[in-house]
This record gives sequence, structure tokens and C-alpha cells, in this order.
Amino acid sequence: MATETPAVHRAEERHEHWHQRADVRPAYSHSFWWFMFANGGAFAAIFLGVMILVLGILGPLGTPEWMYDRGHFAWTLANPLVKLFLLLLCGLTFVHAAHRTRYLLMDLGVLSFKKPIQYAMYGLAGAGTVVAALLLFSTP
Amino acid sequence: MSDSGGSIFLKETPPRHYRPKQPATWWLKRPNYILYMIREFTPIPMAAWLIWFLYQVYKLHNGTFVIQSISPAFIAFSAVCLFFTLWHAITFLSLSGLIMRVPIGDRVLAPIVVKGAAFGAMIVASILGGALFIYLGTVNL
Repeated sequence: MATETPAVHRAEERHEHWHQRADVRPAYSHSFWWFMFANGGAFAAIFLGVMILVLGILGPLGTPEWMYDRGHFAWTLANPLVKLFLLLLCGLTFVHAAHRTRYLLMDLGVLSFKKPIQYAMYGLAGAGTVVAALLLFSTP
Repeated sequence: MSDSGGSIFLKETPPRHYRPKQPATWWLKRPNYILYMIREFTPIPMAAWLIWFLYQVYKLHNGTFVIQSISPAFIAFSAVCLFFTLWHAITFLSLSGLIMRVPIGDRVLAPIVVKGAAFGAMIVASILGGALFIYLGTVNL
């Protein structure tokens, strides 16, 4: 009994590019989360290190910085560009962390709850971003 | 067809899938696996530090923020988070040359140039950002 050749193989036989194939649909959801993951990783890699160094180590050791006292903290945070930068940093880093933690849990053998973990991780990242936006844009 | 109305052929058995099972400690077997898992873990301390930061914003919002914590425990926490952030930065930006393909006509930019630009952006952002953070703390209000 002859078996029908799958559409994927037929397309490969015709040497079509993947973006010209009618049998392949774009995975919009996957591409969105991948976009957020990649940009979150790059954004955090470029900006988060200096933020932790200055605000988390040098400031407490005595170097003056914008978060050291209440006046400078509130004055700097009043700038909308600062709010936008911090929101991007928080949101993208949270999504990046969610994406990596999702796969970290799978690597650790948690394979039975793939979907719940996926929803929980991205849900937490989304909730964290919303909380960050509410805090940043209602303070000071 | 048989007399009983059933098929004369053997019933198709459902395919048996090979499901490899590995222990949760598989990554302890080789140093490279451990490095991989550390890389996957790095965003958790990064997110933890940002949650601490948002808590400070919350305290400012509530009016309970007076001065930043200068406790050794907090500095140690930040140092640990910085360590993992740098680990993330080095491993993530090192892959930028492989992942990002920048087309120039019929060719693409050499991966080493993309990687250099990524690390250059990190160094410039760190120097300018650090200077700006400190400058903002010295402004007379």
C-alpha cells in the first residue's frame, strides 16, 4: 500500500524556501516570546551590571549615587525617561528570567507540567512588569 | 472479513515511543553541563535584585524610604547578583556573533564584529551609565 508523502517532504523536494511554503505557518506566539527573551538578555547584559555595581555595592560603600537618599531617589525617578528605562529593564529581564527558568525546570526533569510551568513563568513575568509599571509611574 | 464481522488482519498496535529518562542530576556528570546549568540559572539572581529595587521604589512610594541600605548582607547580596549578571553578560553576548546575522549586500557582517560591537556597547554603557548614576547623586537639590 503506497503511503502518501507528507507535505513537508513534498515542499523539500521542490526546494522551496521555508518562508514560501504554504504548509508552514509562522509561530507568532513562539516568535514573540523568543523576541522578548533575546532582547531581555541583551538589555540586561548591557545595563544591569553597572546598575548593580553602582547602586548595590559602590553606593552602600559610600559613593554618592542617585538612590542613596530619599531626595535624590525621588528627584531622579521623577524623570519619565528614567521611568521608561527602568520599566524596560524590569519587564525584559523578568521575561528573560521566566523563559530561562521554564527550560531550567525542564532540564531538571520537571516534564509532566510543561504547560502549567509555561503559563506560571510568563504569568509571573507579566505580573511583575505590571507591578513595576504601576510603581514606577505612580512614584514619587 | 471474517465470519464474526471482525478484520482478518492483526490489529494495529499503537506505536511504542522511546522515552529516554535521565536523572535530575544529569548535569553534575560533566563540568560543561554544570557551566550550562549555571548559565541557565543566572537570570534568577538578576530578577531577584530587580525585585529588591522595586521594593525600594515601593518604600519611596509609601514614604518609608529614608536612606539606602548599607548593611554588609545587602552588599554581599548585590555582589552575588553582580557575579551572575556578569556571567550572563559574558555568555549571552558571546553568542551574539552567531545569532545576529547583519546583512551587508550579499554578505553578512563577520561574527567577530557583531560580538565586538555587543561587548563594546556593554563597556560604553557601563562607563557612561556609572558616571551618570554617580553624577545624579551629587546634584544639589
